[in-house]
Amino acid sequence: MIDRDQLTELLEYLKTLNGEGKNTVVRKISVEFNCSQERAEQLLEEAVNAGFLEILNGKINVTGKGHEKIVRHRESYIHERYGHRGLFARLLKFPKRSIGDWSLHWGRKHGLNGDSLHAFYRDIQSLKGYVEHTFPLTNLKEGEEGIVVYALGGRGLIKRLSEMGLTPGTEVLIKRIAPFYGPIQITVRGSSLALGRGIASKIFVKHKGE
Amino acid sequence: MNVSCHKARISKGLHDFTIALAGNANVGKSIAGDEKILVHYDGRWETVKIKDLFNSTHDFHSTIMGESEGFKPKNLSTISLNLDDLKVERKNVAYVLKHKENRPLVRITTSSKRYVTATQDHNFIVLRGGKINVVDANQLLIGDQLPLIKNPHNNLLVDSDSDETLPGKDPLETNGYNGLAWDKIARIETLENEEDFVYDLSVEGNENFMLANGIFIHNSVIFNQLTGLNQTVGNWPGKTVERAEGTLYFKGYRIKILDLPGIYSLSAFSMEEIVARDYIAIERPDVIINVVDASVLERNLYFTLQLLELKVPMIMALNQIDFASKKGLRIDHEKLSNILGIPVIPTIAVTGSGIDQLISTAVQAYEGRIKLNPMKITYSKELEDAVRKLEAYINKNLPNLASKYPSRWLAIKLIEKDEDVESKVKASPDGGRVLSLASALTESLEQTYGKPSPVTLATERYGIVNELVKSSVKITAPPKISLEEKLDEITGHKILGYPILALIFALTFSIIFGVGGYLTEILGGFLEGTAIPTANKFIYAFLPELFAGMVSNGILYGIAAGITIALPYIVPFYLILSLLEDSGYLPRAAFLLDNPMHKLGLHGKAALCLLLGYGCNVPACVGCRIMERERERFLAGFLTVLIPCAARSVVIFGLVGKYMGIPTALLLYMFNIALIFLLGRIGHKVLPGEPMGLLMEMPPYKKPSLKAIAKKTWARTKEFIYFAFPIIVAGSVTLSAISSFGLVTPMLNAMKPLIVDWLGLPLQTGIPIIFGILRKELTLILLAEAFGTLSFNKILTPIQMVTFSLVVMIYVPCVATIAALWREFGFKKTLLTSLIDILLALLIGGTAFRILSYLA
Repeated sequence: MIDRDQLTELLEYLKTLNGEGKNTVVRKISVEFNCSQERAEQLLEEAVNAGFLEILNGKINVTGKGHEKIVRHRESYIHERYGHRGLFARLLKFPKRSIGDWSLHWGRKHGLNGDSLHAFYRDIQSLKGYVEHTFPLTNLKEGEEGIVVYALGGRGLIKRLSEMGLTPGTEVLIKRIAPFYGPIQITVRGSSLALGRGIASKIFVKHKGE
Repeated sequence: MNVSCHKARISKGLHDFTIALAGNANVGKSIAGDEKILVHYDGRWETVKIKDLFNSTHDFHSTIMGESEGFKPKNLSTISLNLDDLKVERKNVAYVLKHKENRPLVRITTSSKRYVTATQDHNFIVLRGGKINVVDANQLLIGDQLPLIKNPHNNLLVDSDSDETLPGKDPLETNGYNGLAWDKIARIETLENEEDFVYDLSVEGNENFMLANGIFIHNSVIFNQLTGLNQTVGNWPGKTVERAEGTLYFKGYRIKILDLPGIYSLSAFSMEEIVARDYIAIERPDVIINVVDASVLERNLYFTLQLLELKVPMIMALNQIDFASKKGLRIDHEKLSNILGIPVIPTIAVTGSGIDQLISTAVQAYEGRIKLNPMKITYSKELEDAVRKLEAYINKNLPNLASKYPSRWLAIKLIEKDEDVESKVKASPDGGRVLSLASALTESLEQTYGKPSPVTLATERYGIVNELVKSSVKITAPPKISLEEKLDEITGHKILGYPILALIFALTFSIIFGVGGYLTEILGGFLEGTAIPTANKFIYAFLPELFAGMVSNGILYGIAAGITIALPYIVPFYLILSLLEDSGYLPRAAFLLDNPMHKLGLHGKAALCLLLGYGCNVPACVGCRIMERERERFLAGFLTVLIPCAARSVVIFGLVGKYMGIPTALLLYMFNIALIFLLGRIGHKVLPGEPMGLLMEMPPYKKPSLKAIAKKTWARTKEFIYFAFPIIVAGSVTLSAISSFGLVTPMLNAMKPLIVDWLGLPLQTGIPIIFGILRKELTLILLAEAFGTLSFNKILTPIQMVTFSLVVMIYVPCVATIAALWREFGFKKTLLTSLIDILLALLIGGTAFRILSYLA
């Protein structure tokens, strides 16, 4: 049986390498995944059979189908980890709101629509590295640093964030977190910004060096 | 004596142009201290040496800023020349200043043996080649003519060589003045300055003044009305003053300087940004001075790039370089200038350092003497291609729009999906096609770059900014934990921050009510005691009884009330607000209060509007502009009018506080806050739309500038006066009209069921309740008048006091606030708010009455 997680991980790993224009060999894969070379070969074979990878002239490329799989994986990951958070809270509010939210939630739309959903897919597709390494800004503690990866928000939000300098690749440092789920003060590009929790939870970051 | 006269055909050689500026400026040039001038003070004309204005016994408080010192004189005027019609007139002196000058001075001697000694760059009004010009002292030529007042009494008003201070004659009086003459310059020489200082005046309006020997010279200009307000660029948007303008005469130019609202970027996020960029894009000032805060360089440079794309000639003022170097940043402004392709002048606006050079550069830029070669911002290939394609398409299809805004800029904005530009394009004929092309291009760009296009553009711009910063900024010393950071630590601290906030809040209020109360008494005493009775004598003497009453009670008392009641509270309030704002504390307060605000569907900034409401609802209502969107703005506005303003607080303290103790009064305040919370939550649920989170810059703390605070306070007070006073007076007049025509009793009787039966209050309380709408601050006074006594405990039971206070606290705000609501939100929303407030007040009042009666 193919270990799905590992397969997807493999795809992500390869995709990142593709993005950097690098190639790899079975030996490196087994080192990276901490498994035997046979296992690595087995994984590769399964991936190729399933249509996710193709090997041309010794180069291992991720196919379009493979990319789709990656995106779907990332999207599920975010959905599972962060999409649910609001559900309970939403159930506690008046019915009118949560029914609308529910449908958005079930449709795996994460509270986004149209443009921003589009943007979301684009963002997670272009993410370098593992989605598992990304998390919302709100997970960082005081004094910790992170690098902005993408933002899960409507068009207006994304624009505002960009204007303020919170673009992908920017370093942020958490200066202070207000109590009771209050706003977060961060240092970015040499100046201080205050972000409400709602906004901060929509900005996804990763630790430096990952 | 060789004085030539010209009459009619003198043509103006003054050029006009406009500078748009965000920043502060302070230009100084001056004359030698021993120069004698003619001034009018204390009812008489005097000839004094200009330096003696500082040594005189005239009472003044001077401000020392860096190397200059100045003061605002009272009742000092002088003779000045109106350059528009060449008439000589008397004008007020707005400012007297002196500053250190080490460079040699210039002495100009005319053919009539008059002389002037001034700094090399001091401005002179000259007649040259038939044209009137304003030139620097070191550009004067022999043969230029200086304006001289002509006077048949042989002209010399004072002996140039004498050291005496002679009492002067008023040159404008009959027999004296006979027009303007022109005196040729015979000699120009340099001298050393014997003293350290040079002096100058700033004359209102004409910006020039007459020396005792009759020659008019130009003065230096202090940008009083400008930008002390805007010293905190982008710190706190939503100012009450939208546009500040001033005129500067500088080297033959009459420059209109326009202060744009503080903005971070030219995207359409708030009205101010749209106003600012529309101004730049459409009205196209001749030169833009981009004031960049050197200590926050990256974000400011982002804005610079966007300004460059608007293609207006621009120079940069690199401001607060002293602060930046304290932070350990050294900026190579020449390198920056080379890369950007525009002049970069380091300035320290607060002391005026560099300002002179800045304006000179602006003038040179305008004249084309400096080549501006602004860097062309090129994006990456696919983005550039898309922009160019769209640009060409716009040029072809939207000629009208393209003539107003640069088409490349339009193309970039469309790719950025800027809402304001999109709507402008949509409104143009053929706009739909452009939008479709833009849409298609954006789609493909997103495919290519894997990000939404606004993000791509922002990222690339920041990339360019990064390069700029890397090449021009050196970090010299790692910044130590400065006082500023410690302060930031404490005031934003998750635990300590709140008590500090509460403390500041409490302090603010004690001061306001303490000072306010005190001032009210004094002013009230004076007006009631002397001013009004005197005025009344005249009014009653000249007008028929009925109208006299209306004028006296209406207008007179209206103005008096404004002065004695509204102002004593408003002014200290604005003072403290400006202090908090200028020092940078307010964003911290917003930060701490953000959380509770979310429950109301607002965010931290709204807390400030609410706080403003405790002083006066009018500015609080207007202040809601700082909320980014309509929905939040209205919600905040709705809630602020529920906050008891100073006038209402006076009622609460005067009744409940005085007779039932302060704790009970404070309970009412708590109740009020709880009510606002509740209504906020309901409003949040009811109003359609999603709430927007907090995203706000937290500027570093800085030492507040007294000058800026004074200016802000004055500007806000002035606006309040212009807006509220007429309404207060109108309300007053209406009130006295109603009472003069005997309409009071019928109105009261109509209200009987509500007031007596439902609220359980004596009928006469109807008067302060109803007429309190017109004159809320008079509520207590009206109450006293209605019953004929000031001992309120004799006419109202404790329960009635509480009910009365509740009703006053909650129901319709005063007329001025209604007017403000109307202006901000329109008729329907104002009506809605007023109705809800009235119903709420009645509901709560009546319920309170019943519950309290039951409990008693």
